[in-house]
Amino acid sequence: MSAPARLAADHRGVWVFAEQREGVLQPVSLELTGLGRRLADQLNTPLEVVLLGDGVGDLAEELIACGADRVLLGEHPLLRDYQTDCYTRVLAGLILGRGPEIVLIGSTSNGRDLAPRLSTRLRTGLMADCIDFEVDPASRILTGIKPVAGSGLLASIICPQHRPQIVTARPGVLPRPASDPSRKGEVRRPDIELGDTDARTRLLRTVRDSTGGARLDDAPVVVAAGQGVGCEENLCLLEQLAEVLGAALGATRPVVDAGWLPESAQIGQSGKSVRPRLYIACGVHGASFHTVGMQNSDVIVAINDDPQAPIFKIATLGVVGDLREIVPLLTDRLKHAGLI
Amino acid sequence: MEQIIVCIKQVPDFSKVPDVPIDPKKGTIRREGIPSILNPPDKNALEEALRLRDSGGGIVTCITMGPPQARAVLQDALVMGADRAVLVSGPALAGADTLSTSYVLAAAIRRLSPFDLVICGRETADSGTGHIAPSLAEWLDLPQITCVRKIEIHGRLLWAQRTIEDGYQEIEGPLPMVLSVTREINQPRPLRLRGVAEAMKKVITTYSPAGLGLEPKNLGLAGSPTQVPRLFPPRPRQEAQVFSGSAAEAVEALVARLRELRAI
Repeated sequence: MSAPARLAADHRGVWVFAEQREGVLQPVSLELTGLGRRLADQLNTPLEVVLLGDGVGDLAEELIACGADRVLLGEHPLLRDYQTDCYTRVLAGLILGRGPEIVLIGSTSNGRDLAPRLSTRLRTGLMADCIDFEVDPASRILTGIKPVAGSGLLASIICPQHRPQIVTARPGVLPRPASDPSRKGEVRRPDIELGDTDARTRLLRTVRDSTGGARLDDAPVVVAAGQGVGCEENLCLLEQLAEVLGAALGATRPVVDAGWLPESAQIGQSGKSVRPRLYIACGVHGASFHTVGMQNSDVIVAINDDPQAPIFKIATLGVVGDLREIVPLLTDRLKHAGLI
Repeated sequence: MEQIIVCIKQVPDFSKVPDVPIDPKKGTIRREGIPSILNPPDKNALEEALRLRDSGGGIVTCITMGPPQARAVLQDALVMGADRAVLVSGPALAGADTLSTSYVLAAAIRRLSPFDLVICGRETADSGTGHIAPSLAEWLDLPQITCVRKIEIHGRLLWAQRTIEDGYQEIEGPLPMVLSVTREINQPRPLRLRGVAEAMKKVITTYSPAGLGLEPKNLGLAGSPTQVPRLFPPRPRQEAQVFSGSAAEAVEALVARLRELRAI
């Protein structure tokens, strides 16, 4: 490892890496633009957003409307879809050239692929999966707050000496900024030098889940079935709720053991751990071997006919009642309210 | 295939304790009394390596960086069927963040050359960053595919399905390569008694940072750009807000509150 390329004091500016897929900005990129605006104002420095792709210049407007002072638009056929080598090369080159002090990246599947490769190339630190941020205007040090996986604790993390300070932020936890179409900003088009040999892996195709259901691991919303669902037939009520929420369907062990849902849906000690923005536990009793896999969810809703069920001890919100009545009402309310 | 290297880690099994104890002075987790286990996703990484070996030949080497007691997870890996195991250990390594850890592991992996594949679990159960695979790929100047849920090898070309938020991608690239795998990729084989007897015959090699020619300034706390100033419990969850009234009223109140909380 070599020493950082330049002193921390020489780095100025807050950057956001804006991720587009098939010409559509990922929501987290706008959330980060909102965060970046706040940090840049506190540090009295510009907010620049890096947008890579091919024929995606139209997206710059939205980034400026959400707070970017400048969009660095890197376009090249090899940047059309995310590819580790090309994106790392271009982003590292831009960072070395301009020297931002903070780089914000969304903790998506691609962001998690890119950020560690980038930070390692730059020999700087990476603060992963943060959910909250504070910056000290005097020291210009960014503090990230992150959950400590599996422990239910939070940690504050800093990168005091090395620049840039790179963080990944979990999608869906920061507010989406208000868009102001009258905001003015600049679009710059840096030269992009890439050759065919730069991309060592090749994307052959992308396959969307035919069900349209989000995958459990990364789903922002999970609807979970417990034994209180009663019988396999009632599962369709939960499926309908999951559908209007764009949620993945999960289950407790007894439900999987009964064969109502596949093992891949099992959440808990012997299954998956999930940490969605919203977890709706339907007929889930709340035994610890289940809750260990979901207790760090941001908002937990319990729907259960037993007011004494331990799930209410960790739930944020609850409804005591028959889920066969409550769940369809909730589905209906969400579907017709246009809230989603 | 010549050699597949699997990176594994010993992690505390937080599921075995009701509340994670914090040392109030240091602001760190008190690990005494918490049982240690092989990081669960690493079992999937090892299982995949064993399957590739069993169909394509070569050997499987497991490597971990940690204190001397981390030998326990290497022994587990040998019982599962790994051919050899390497412990990278030394007091100077304590407190390493992911940049420093990947730097040390990359040096050890270079020492184990030649190899075709480095496989990591998607993330660890304790720090959960998922940084090591991409960082290793960078230090080793190799292509990477993360979150892999299916692998096929055709000659020197690797084809993989990579899990993304709403489906998967099919990606191919040349060996050697660094991968991280998800828990969907396979069902790790259980530990068998016969494996224990076979593992007894295998050796665990130890590398020290000095033996790898690494400079102390890049190791442990000193070599780590990031610092964790403190750990703290989240504000205790308030008692659940339970909505009453008729089912329709309760649902109405629930939706209003979810909206306030930005949960929908």
